[in-house]
Amino acid sequence: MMRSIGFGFLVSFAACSSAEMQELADEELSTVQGAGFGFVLDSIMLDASGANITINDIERVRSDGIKENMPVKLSEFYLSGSGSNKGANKTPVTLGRLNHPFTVTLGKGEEMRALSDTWELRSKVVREGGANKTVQYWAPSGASQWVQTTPSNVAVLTLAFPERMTSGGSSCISGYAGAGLNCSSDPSGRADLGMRFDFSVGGGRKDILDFDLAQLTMDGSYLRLWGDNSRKQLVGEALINIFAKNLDISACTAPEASANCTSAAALAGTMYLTNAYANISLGYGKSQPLQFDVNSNGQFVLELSNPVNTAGTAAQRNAQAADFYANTPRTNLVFDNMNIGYGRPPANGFANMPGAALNSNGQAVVGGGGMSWGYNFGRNEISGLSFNYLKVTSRDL
Amino acid sequence: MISKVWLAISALLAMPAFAEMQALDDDTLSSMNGQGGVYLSGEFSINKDGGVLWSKPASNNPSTWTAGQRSCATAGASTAENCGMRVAIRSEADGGWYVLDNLKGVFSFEGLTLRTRTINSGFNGDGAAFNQDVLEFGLPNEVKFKDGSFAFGVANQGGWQNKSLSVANGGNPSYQQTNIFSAKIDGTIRMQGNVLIFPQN
Repeated sequence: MMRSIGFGFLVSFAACSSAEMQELADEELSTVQGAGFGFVLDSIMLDASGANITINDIERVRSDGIKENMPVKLSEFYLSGSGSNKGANKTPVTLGRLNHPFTVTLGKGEEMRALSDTWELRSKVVREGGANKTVQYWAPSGASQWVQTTPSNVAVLTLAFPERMTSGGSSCISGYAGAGLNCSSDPSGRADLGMRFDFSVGGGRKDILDFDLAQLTMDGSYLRLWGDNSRKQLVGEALINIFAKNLDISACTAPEASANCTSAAALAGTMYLTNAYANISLGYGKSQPLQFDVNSNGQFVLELSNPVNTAGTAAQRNAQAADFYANTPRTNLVFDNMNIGYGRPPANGFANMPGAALNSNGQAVVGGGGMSWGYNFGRNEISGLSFNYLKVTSRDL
Repeated sequence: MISKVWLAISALLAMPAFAEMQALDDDTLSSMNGQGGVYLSGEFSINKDGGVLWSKPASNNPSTWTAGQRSCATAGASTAENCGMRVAIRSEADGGWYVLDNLKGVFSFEGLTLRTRTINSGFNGDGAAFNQDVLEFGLPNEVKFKDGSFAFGVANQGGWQNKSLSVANGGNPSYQQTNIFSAKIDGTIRMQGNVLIFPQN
């Protein structure tokens, strides 16, 4: 044994001239990119129904004015393949693809890109003060573009979900093109996710809030972090994309001793969202990074500052504003259908709104056809929102 | 199978001259892959009986504690509780601190696996084009928690100080900590599947 190792050493000494490490020339070094790793969650399933999870430190005030802890019980927490029927039939799901995985990378700010809608400056004539006036506004031109949102010459730590693509993707929500056809995740890589919170509000009562997402994908989401030299703090930017075929939010009240709300109360208090998606964009790194702060008083501060440097010249301010409006990824919130209390709408929507019935006094009441307590709000949309300024801070009560 | 192994061993014994270890040339070495893996089971506890910084006081009222005492029971609780580990991070010069506080409990798991795996097929057709090695963490099917807890908060000092005591008594009335939320976990969480990790440019 010793002899063979000695032999190995001799061989390696003899061959050392070719195996020696070489210095990299500057040109070679400049081509080396920051890199990281990708990961795929293969056949994953999570089920916390066997655990007692309680969230504390949220306080309630008793009738005698004394503040005390309000326990919030987290239950029915699961992550499953789609088709789980709100977690009843949990199956494994593969999240991320080998060629489009989740990634954790360290990269140069000038080389990172974000997918943003393209915006164009339009004008229209409005009537103001009795006179016609031409105003200008930014509107989406209908195409998407890769833009640099991070500042140059910084090292950026990125946690990214599977990307969105400009071509060759699949639908982000099956059967609903409105949410985009550019998700890299395979249709089989959509997950069901749910959790339920029981708030013990006191007085023998608890309020139940139950979330169930079906066919969830979060493609294109990312969190980027870097250090800001002039502010001397950690800053970043985040895009949170949530695409869900169904989102049910049930809110109802039950006696503390009961396990669940009555089924009538649960049905009446359930909001059914169909083909729902959100793109929540926080921060535009070049001029408006998201600042994660704790101030010196020990309070939490989340801030998006004015993207324009007010100390600059008019030309500089205009250039910063134009760049901000042209390139910032926007926040959208779209529910293709929202109704409360009817139950999930069929594939083509409700055939008819329930007809108004007359009660014994001859007044019209909603709820004919057995669908009582229901309201259909149809399509709801907030699109193209950008934050010019945002400051969220905690306060000790 | 067994007979084949014995045959191989006896062949080796019969020909010791050929069994000596040989240095591998670069070509042979580059064609070899690491094999095998690790199977881990374990239980670890963090500050189950409190840590070294603070001892458990008799009551949950901060004004009755001595300089070396602290309870981490929720506000208004009748009995005191040991405190877990504390990690404080400051993300801004001259700013306050993010605090992960009272991290404690017993965590146990069985069957966490770690191995390399070559993927060259499957994955809805992505595997063949991928064709490379990945690091595979096989999640344990069950993770058990006993009295697990943590709190997330923000504070104006990295180290905890008792704001109900005067400076002379070892406290600091100007200390401010706001817990955003805390959580307690007991029981079993089922986690199944694999996390596949590979280099990415």
